[in-house]
Amino acid sequence: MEETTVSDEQPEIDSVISRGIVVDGDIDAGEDIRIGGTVKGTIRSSGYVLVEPSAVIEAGIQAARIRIQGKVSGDVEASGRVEIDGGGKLYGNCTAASIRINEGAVFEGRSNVRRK
Amino acid sequence: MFIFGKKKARIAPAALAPAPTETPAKEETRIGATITVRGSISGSGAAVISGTVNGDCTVDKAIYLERGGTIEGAAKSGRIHIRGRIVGRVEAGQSVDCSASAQVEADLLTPSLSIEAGALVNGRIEILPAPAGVGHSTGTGERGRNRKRASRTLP
Repeated sequence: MEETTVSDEQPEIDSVISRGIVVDGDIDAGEDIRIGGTVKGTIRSSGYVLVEPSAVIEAGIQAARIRIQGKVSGDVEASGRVEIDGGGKLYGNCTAASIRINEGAVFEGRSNVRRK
Repeated sequence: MFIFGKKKARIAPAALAPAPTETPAKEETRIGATITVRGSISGSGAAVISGTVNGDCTVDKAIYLERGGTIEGAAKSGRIHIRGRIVGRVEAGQSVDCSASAQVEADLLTPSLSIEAGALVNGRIEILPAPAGVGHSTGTGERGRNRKRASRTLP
């Protein structure tokens, strides 16, 4: 069930890749995850993925919901919403049930909104 | 003359100096129990691992391998606290401690090691010379450290 109202509340996310950390490989998460560092690999989550302003993701993201405030160079795919905040940069395609691109966001790619 | 002064418990400032705590500080990297990282983790800060890392983990401050967490690779850090499972290699700049729930199938290279009763440790243990600035304690706690500092001359 995707809400159409602004969902600005940030859930308390337990899992963090903090800034200053580089992950050279893929991440498979069965929970929400927040990324502040660099990930050179695909991120898969069954939950929410928050790409913080300091984050650099060099590959794709697949999750239920994705919020981009940092830099993503890869395709993102969400079963729910993808949101790109001002300061966020997505260089890649975006497939989601809904896409929200805020002012100041950079998006270079194809957007594909599909509803099941 | 203070003969009949009320005795108040006075705590010397030195005793209030925080002892190194076991709990991780803020903004450490946390790999939750449902997370698997297929690759290496490196960088600054501390890492708290409750999930699985199939690769090396090299962070400069500390690694907390929680109960239920697994590292299949090398763990390299300052202080390494093992409550989970590691298959690979453990290299610490300062200390390693293995709790009763630890399962270590790895060589341990560290200047300081503690293994709780019940821990499974299979591997070679090499106690390294103490890092510069920290002596193997000859006394207990702070007095031991202070005594050492008083006699140490700067290079």
